[in-house]
Amino acid sequence: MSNEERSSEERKRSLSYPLILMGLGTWVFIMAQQLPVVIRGGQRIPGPKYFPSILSGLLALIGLYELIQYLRELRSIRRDLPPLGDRARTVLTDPRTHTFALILAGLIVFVPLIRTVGFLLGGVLFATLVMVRLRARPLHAIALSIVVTVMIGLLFGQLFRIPLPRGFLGIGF
Amino acid sequence: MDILLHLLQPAVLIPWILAMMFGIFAGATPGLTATMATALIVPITYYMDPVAGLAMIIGATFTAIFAGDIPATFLRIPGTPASSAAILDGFEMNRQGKGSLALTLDLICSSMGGLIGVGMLILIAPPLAQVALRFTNFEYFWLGVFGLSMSAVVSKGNTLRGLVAAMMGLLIATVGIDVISGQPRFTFGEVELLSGIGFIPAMIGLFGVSEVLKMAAGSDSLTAPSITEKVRVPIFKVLPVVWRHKMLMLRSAVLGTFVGALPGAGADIAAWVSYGVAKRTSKNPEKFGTGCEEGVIAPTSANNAALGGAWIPALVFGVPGDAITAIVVGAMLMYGLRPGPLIFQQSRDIVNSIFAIAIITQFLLLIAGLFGIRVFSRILRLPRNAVMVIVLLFSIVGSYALQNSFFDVYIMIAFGLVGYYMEKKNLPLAPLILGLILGPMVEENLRVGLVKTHGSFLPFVTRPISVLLASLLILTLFGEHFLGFAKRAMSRNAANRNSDRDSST
Repeated sequence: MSNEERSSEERKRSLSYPLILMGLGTWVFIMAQQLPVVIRGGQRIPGPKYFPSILSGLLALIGLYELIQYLRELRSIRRDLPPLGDRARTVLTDPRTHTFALILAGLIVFVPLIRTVGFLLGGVLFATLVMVRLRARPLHAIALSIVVTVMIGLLFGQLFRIPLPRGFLGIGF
Repeated sequence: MDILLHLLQPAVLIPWILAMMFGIFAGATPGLTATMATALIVPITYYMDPVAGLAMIIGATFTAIFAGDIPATFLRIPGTPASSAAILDGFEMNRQGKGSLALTLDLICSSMGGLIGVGMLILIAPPLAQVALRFTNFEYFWLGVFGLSMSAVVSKGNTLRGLVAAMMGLLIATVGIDVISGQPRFTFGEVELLSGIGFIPAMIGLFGVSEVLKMAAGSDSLTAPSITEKVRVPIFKVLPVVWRHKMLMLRSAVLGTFVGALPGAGADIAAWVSYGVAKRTSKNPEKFGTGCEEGVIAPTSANNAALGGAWIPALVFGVPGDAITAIVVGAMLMYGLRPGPLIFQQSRDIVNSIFAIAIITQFLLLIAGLFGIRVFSRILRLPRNAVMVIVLLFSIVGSYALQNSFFDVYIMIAFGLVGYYMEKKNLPLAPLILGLILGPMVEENLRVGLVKTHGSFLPFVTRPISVLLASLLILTLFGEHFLGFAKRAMSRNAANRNSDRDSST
């Protein structure tokens, strides 16, 4: 198995997956026990905690199984991959990581943006910035952003009668 | 003949076609579902002739269900929940430069599936409705679990990871107010979470936003067009493909009609069950998920056929088969019609008109669908970076539009990250969405069933239809292992016999 294939396999069978499953399952199971028990006619019936308890318990068990599988395979995979610190540095300095982070940040910031300035203005700003970051020419980006944002505004605002935020400037359809 | 002449009048035909165009738009727009398209059409029909109104509603519904496959194929964002199964092979075909082939195939199968569904509606509505009404809580529980297991088994990655995704979907569906006890669950005091996690923003995030994040972090050129194939694939070139798989299409449509006839089941379960059965019975199951034609034909025939099936309990008993027919039953009451056994005697003309409308719609669907495919494929000739931004804007607005809530947009973003992570770890996305959709049905029927039986699981495993569904479930999950075990046992026996023969000679 080449380093790339090994890296790919390790990515798919990584420590985070079983830990997340076990953590999520355990946490939900504990939270579910705080839900009330339902008694009808002197008999306990499956209440609100019944289904989440079953599911979270199963997920935690599967997480444990996956953890055991991971630890078993770790011994058999030859560990000649670069150290974790080097791998992290490579990922963090990769321009694609920056693009990923920008789009994610843009999405998170976009909501308060359109609440403030409205969908039309906020949409044009967001779309232009993202497109320029994704290597579109600035003038093309601005033109396309305006066209797309206006069309979406018309489609939802006029045709489907779904009002989109207008912001403090009151611009919208 | 009179009915046909009435339907071809401009006062009926023009609104009918316009409604179908609207159905294409609504179905292909992530965030707007076929149910929403139907709901938006009904008020417009209030002042119209009932036949014209029904034509608009039926036309919009069938086209919206097909149109959901357009963004599913081109962008990996299902336009409607019923289109999530179409992603598996449709999107893969698009990546291979065969997107419009996939959609043209999809269109023909949707049309033919719809015809078969309507045909079954006309021929066997009453007896099929009798079977459907025998389904109680126990059977519905197994049906939901069966549908989920199908999606887990047929999706990419191993079955265990598919089941994990499905269970996560079921767990997420428990957020909100418990319908049986009224107790809020996992809301952490947030008012927005009382109504649960909306599956539309979750679906848009899981499929759409995660795909954009994947593209941003990937190595493909961002300035290249999203699709590079020739747009026009003449229908006559696709017909031989359909003919080659005619039995698959017929079987999928029949299965889809039956599933659609089960109240509450719907086109999404029909599509998944059909896909799963097609994969299990295929000579080349390993090709499913890699862009094979069978993977497109099975779910797309089934989901349109399910619409015909959903009309069966609606017409015969006034019990809608899914959310869409629930709205249609409401519309019929608005027109002064009474769905139920007597409608066949008291309003036979209307019933015949409904049948005629449904049949003609399948042919008009070919025209409307081709139009929709052309329009969307032109949009996708734009560079990838432009398409990504369009997808993001539509995703945000689509998520917001459902409840005019920004909270749904945050849900979409969160699920976008979840989807990105899941794909990195080879966890399939579709079972999670199906778990979210079917969660309430599965949980409610399990708990109500247990209440009825005072905690006993016996009826779940002794009622005939329950046993059948449970057996299908076991076969789905473990069938390959049983087969492998049986083959190994047989080859061991054969080897022992050969060595015995050799030693005796």
